[in-house]
Amino acid sequence: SQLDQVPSYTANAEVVYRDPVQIQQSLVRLYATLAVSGQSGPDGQPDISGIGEDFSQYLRQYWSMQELASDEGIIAWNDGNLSDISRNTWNANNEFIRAIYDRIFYQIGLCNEFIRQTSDDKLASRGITDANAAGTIRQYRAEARFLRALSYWHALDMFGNVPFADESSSLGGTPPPQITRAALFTYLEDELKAIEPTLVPARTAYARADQGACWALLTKLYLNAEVYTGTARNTDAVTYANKVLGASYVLAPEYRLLFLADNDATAANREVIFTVPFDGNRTRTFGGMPFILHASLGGSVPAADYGVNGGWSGLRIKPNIVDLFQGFPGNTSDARATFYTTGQTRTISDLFNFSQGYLVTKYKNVTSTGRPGSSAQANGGDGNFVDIDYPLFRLADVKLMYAEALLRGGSGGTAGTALEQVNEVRRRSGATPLAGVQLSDILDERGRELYWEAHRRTDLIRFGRFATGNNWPQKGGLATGRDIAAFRTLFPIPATDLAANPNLKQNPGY
Amino acid sequence: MMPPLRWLRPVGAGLAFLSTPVIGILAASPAVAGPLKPSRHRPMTTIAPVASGVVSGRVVDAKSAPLPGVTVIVEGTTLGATTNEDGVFTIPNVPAGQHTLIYSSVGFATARVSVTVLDGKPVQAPLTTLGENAQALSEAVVVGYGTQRRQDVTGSITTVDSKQFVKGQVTSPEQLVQGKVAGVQITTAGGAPGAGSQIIIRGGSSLSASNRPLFVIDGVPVTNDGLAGAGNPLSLINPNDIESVTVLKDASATAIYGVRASNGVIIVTTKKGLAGEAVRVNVSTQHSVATVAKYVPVLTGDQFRDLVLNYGNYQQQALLGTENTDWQRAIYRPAYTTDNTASVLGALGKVPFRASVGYLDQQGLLKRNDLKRYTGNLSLTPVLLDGNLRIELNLKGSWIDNNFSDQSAVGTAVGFDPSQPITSDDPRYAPFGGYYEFLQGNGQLVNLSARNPLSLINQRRDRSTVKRSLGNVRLDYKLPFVPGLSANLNVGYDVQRGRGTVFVAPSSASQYNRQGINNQYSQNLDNHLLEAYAKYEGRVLGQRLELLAGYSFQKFGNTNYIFDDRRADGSVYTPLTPTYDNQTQFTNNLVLLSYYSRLNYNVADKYLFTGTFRIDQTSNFAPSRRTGYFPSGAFAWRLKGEDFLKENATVSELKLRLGYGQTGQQDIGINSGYLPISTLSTNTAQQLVGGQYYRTLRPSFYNPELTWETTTTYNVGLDYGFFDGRLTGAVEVYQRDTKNLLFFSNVSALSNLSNAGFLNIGSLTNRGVELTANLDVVRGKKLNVAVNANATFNRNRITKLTLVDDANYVGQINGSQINAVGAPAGSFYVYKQLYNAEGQPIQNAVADLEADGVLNGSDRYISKSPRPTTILGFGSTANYGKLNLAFTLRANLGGYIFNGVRSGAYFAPSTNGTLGNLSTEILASRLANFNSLTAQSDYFLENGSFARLENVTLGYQFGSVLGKNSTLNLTAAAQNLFLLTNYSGIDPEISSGYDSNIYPRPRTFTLGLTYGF
Amino acid sequence: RDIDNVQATPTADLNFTASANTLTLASAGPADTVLRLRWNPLQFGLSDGSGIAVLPVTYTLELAAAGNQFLNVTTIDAGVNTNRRGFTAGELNTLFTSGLGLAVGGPNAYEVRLRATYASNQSVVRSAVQSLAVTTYASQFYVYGNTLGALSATSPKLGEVAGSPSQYEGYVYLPAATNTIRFSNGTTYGGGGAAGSLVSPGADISLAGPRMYRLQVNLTARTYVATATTWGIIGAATTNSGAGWNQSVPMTYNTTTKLWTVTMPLPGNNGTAGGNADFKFRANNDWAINLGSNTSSALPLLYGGGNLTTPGPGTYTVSLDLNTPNNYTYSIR
Ligand SMILES: [Ca+2]
Ligand SMILES: [Ca+2]
Repeated sequence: SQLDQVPSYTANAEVVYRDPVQIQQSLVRLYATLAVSGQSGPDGQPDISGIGEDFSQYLRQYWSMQELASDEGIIAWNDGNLSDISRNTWNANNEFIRAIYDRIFYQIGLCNEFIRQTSDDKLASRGITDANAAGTIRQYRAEARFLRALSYWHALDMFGNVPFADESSSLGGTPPPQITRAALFTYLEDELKAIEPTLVPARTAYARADQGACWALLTKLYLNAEVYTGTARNTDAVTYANKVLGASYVLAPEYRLLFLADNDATAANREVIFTVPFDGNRTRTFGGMPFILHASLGGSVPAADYGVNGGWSGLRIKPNIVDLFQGFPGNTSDARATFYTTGQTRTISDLFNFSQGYLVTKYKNVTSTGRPGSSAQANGGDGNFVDIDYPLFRLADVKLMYAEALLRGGSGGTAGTALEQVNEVRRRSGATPLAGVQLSDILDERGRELYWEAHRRTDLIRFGRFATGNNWPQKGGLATGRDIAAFRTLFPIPATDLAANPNLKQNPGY
Repeated sequence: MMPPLRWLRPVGAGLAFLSTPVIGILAASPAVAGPLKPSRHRPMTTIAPVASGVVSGRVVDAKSAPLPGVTVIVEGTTLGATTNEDGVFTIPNVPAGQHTLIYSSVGFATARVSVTVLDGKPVQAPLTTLGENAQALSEAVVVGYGTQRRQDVTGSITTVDSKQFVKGQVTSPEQLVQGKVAGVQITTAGGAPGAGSQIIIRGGSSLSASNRPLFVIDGVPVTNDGLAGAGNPLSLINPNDIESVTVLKDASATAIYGVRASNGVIIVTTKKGLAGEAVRVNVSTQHSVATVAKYVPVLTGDQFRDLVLNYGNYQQQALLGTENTDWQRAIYRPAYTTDNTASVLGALGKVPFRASVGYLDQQGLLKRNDLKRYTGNLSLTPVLLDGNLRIELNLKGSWIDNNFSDQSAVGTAVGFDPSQPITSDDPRYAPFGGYYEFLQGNGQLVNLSARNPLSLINQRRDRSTVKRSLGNVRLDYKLPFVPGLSANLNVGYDVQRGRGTVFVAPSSASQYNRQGINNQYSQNLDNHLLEAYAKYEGRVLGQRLELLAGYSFQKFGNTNYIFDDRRADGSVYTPLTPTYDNQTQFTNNLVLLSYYSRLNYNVADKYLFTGTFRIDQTSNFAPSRRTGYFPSGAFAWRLKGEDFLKENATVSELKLRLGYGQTGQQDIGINSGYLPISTLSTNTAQQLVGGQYYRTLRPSFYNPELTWETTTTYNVGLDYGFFDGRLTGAVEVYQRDTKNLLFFSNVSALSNLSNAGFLNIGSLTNRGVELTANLDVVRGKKLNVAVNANATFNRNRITKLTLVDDANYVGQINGSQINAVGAPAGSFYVYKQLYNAEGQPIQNAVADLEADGVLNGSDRYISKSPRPTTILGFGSTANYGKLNLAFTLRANLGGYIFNGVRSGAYFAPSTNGTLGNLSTEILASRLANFNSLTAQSDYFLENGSFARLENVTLGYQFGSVLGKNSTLNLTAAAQNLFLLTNYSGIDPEISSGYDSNIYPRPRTFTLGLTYGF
Repeated sequence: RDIDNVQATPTADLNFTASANTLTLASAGPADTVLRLRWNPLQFGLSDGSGIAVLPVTYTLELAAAGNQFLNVTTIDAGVNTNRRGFTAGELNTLFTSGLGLAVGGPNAYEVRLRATYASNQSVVRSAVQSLAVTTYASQFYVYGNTLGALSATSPKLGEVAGSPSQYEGYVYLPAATNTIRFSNGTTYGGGGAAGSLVSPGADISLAGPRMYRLQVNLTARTYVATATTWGIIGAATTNSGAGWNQSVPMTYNTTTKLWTVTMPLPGNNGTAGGNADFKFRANNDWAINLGSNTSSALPLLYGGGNLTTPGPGTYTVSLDLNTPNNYTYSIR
């Protein structure tokens, strides 16, 4: 009938899920959610709406919540309610919290749809019966389940009690029920263990959800179990960290290699367990890695040295992290102290003054041999986009988690091996090995090794140093910082979802 | 010619300029027959008896019904008469000899009949049938699918004809009626040539779906889709070709259009030739000059330097320059426009026709911005087969060459550092064409900073060519074997082509990083229409009945082409990404299929019943959801027809109307949103997995439940006329309830494939009162003064918005505005600014409304609405002899504007390496460096009430100075002569309510000459 | 405007109380709090009762000479959103002598008031004025001379002796065989007619070298003492290489590192005081000048302080750092 009109440029589900090539493209799309914000890089055809694509990009907001809400990062911009994140004074109407919430559940919904459409029954009904093809697609399905688990973990960590649906729910139907934080933990534990045997072995292929990624995520889950459920699971954390340590991952010979334009190709890729790849020409966004790099630059930093066309004068590091490098700037033996100080003060009294706080120059869109990234101006590009892949999980993190789990009482290793793992990480960057290691040393070491890598908020909460007993500039809305209420260890469920879903209850305190 | 007859001159296009003195009278059409009542034309026995006779006759309409009020004059004499209720006239004392009788009546074609008078003998002229002239509409009112006598109308309908139009430099049809119709708010997007308008009828019934009314041009409902390269598709129609604009407001009037009629219907009718008229040529030319009426008050270079030196930090002071540049004055210029139309109108044999060509060359105030429009228009309206087949052919073609300027210069010029020069010889600026730009110490451009406004304009060439052809054929055939039954067929098309190129020099700082732009774009709109209806007119139970049933099919095609993104030198910067099926174009189609019917029943010209029913189907919704049923019913009681008023001399018309009806909305700008479909990513949104890059396939949000948004309207109207029709008008009260809003709403997490999408959710209501009055202040031989006034009071309120009634849900926030239950759509959501005892604002101080000791997003409140509560229009025409004067005054009261231009003016962070200019108010308030709270506080919310003198026109009719039967008129017009407002920005008339730098509406002076022969 | 302007106005005048109105700064240690202010924090009432005002109020203490009408004013930060502030003697002394540039001594009459600011475009709120009588002391006493170089900010400096007004003390290494020195705290001092007397401007004081001198100045008595010192380590810990608590083991002065050092085996078996790990430093093999442990923490060293302890058996390099008056330290590696 003339009334049945299909836009000419689209394919419907019946077509897509009959074709293994298109099924693969649909799977890859699930990886892409972390890196891009829509179907037209750097913007256009957005995945979600209600907020700018650049601002709301998944990695950018995940990163911002972990860094800006903690003692690591601060941002000078005055957009909307952005400063409430740096001040730890956010509420349920904060558009940036809504952005990461919406991205997380967008991704989970997308994964659900893929898993739903690629069930064995559906494949058979669409004529994909070839054993090889079906096997490959089953493999894809496990990857989709991993990516879903990764985002559910983000939800568990940041929002706690969240809406829950898997592939068994129907699309467009009734709003999903709310799951408790503890129940979601159990679901994730079961889910990750269930897909572990199906995923490809660790280090089979770069930037792919493999068993190593699964183990790293399980380690994260168990290490934080006490926060999530009230019950510590440190021995389990040791178990899964050990699986990573037993695989063929190797620390990159130099710390800097991990954060360069060719970090997919150098020895850095042997340390990386799971990554969010970016590319100056093929994977473009104004969020993600381009945001982290551009926003970190400004002041007197020569941006061209970092392979981009300029700084966005946003991000600085709080003195809390600088002070972890005793003696900085005099002590230069630790290669991890990548702070730029010219024209910058160490301390921060004005949130919006970019010259307050040192700059972080950890990430560079140049290769290990000093060549600019593929779309840098020197290479005919416009210098907006970068090649640096963002390491989400890497071996050094797992080594420190392993040591921490042991120090927290997990069994399966010794205090000696814990110290050795920490010192391996330190030695790689020229830091003096520690004579002994205590639990509190781990938090400091994580600060030194992993700052600007979106771990800090979770780490501070696990160590009980987030709400109280640890001040940083602007915390609680005060220039000098002050304690904040304990309920802020969880973000609020955005008011928009509470209004759309009668099953949801707000997190306590908001 | 005796004075009263001038009022009855047929409203031919070529004569329109001659007829200006009678505007007020013609609008009060029921009274037209008044001065010519037969009683006043009794035989004048005092006239010397010469050889003469009495001529009498009878006039009927096409349905053989008697036609009262027809003027019959004897050509070449002052003799005449008017027909009575039976259609009969008598003219005594007609000199003997051969005569031609001229029959004329508004709404009907003029007829000429020959009679021979013999001395002393009464002569019976043959029975004369006057055919309806659909184009002469002062009496007949255009309604959906046909016309009606004004007195039979049951709905809320306002017609503005060419003599009442806004005059001066009017380049787009909707501007003709701005301020002329109660309940219609027309807001132009700004002063750019070809800029679009927001048109809202009775408050707007939609939130996310289109609020545009349906435009029907000569019977072709046109698309609302925008066209690439065209600011305003309506501007492709030459306003000089338009005869009348009719606005259908209530559901009993609009429901026959069901689909797309939720926000009212605007029917545009172009000028047509007249049967039996001599061929006339009309040439008009207008020349205008436009200037900027007001600039945003910002600091001069000296003031700015003073301020920064006194209050800035050393980093800011180091950035100061030494110049005094007025960037606003630098980007604007006086703009010249010439608008020319030539038309030929008349009848060639049995074929009335009108043909016209137009040429408009309009400059914009912004440098390098202009528009050239070429239009052609042809209409043929023959009546064949003894008047049984009426044919109407309309063809319109237009061609517009746009030359756009970079409009971002408008805002950039306001904020650009006034201490810097426009150009500089400093070699650091040579790479940027010599234009001053904000540079870093290393000579590179500062990222994310403003760019030199003049460079934005001068280093960009942005051109488009837009073509449109709109045409239709209407056949109306009276079936010979069934009296009263006719069939109507309407076949039409509307084809638009938009093509454009954008070139930005590689030296332009705005695109320096990517080495310029050299791109093109292209879009096609292809719309087709097929309509057919049958109509029966007859008598049932002795009363008049009209029954109509029809079918309509419309297809709107929208094709876009994709191109490589290129650098200025033509090299590919980003290659195009073909579509899923490897095409370089993509097409959306919308199909609307409808069945409609209408019943009119007229009891004794006193009790009028109208009922309509329409079934609509749209391709936008799933098969089970796509059918909508839209009924309406109306009743009118014409009190004037009752015995107790019939003879009342004071009351010349009184009619009470009651209407109810439903209309539908499906225009959400997304086609086939019910389908689960996937789209392929571009080459720049690929993903690396396992060492290989892939383009990805994304399933999109879809809603198979999507269905019609419906609006139910209740309307009570009273039409009145007093004192022989000198005072006429209407009072209307309405309520419009919209439910199942097609709302782009948040959806609950995990329930669909995005965080928001179109749902049928929520409801809103509009209530209002409209008043219209037309008054002939002076009716005289030489002096005539008429005024018309209209007032609209509308209150819009959202009544439901979410699935869950959550007391903590404030609403859907868009920047500083919010859609919230209980408030008008788009109300302001702002912080409460605090002031000191002297009333001066306190820097960065807003109230902690949630009183928790912390300032955050929860401390905002819902404040005023951008919607005016009252809209007033006031116009007057006066003529004295050959001189005439007209003006239109408009006022919007009670709406608020968030002055984003003011709130955006603060010291830019110095570490960004740039300075931004500031509003002059900082000299008093010393507010600088706002935090985000202050920038969104009610300090910047201002009352946007205003009164604007839309136009004032002075004309002089020289008459036939250039030959017999020729006419020569001269007009001088001024537009936007003054704007009375307390608003501190340049113009408070901003449809969104958020002032973020508007292209200034010009103050225009126009000189026009019209010559007809 | 027809949106109501909500006015935020202070609910009460700003008033403060001071813990004292007469201060003799030198009678307390520089770190001792000698003046405490309390005030009613500025709060704002809203004219329409909506919400509350959350304004960051910054308090500042303003000081000026009496009768100066605060034309020549000096300020000291008193905190944000606070209601009290204590000031130490050192803080105030620096303020008066450096900030106001007033002569040392007194008592001088000052006027004090509290200032509150809450927005950069609003006028400040000030309290009523209270008077304060202050006796200041000189806190910087330089040594210079023919071998030390001309008087400059980097000239060697003597430190205030805690609890002893107008007394200064410190160590200066004089590198040449003959050296002449003078003192300055803004006013130049040299030797007077009598030995050890101090007059202004006075004459050059000659001291033989190369040696490290302990210099002591008493401005009240107008005297100075120059004691040549050689340092050693003494105690149970030195038993193996010396004479235990009986005899110092000499240290040598390194002109490059500017430290007294000695490398020796230290037998102490634990870090517990009172055992064979104890030791102290003394000058000239005499208890007249000796340095030991501070009360709560080991550093800085204190004249006549408690015993120090070695970290455990082993051969160590012990260094003594006398470069900073009031902050003498040591290290064992
Ligand atoms: Ca890469
Ligand atoms: Ca609050």
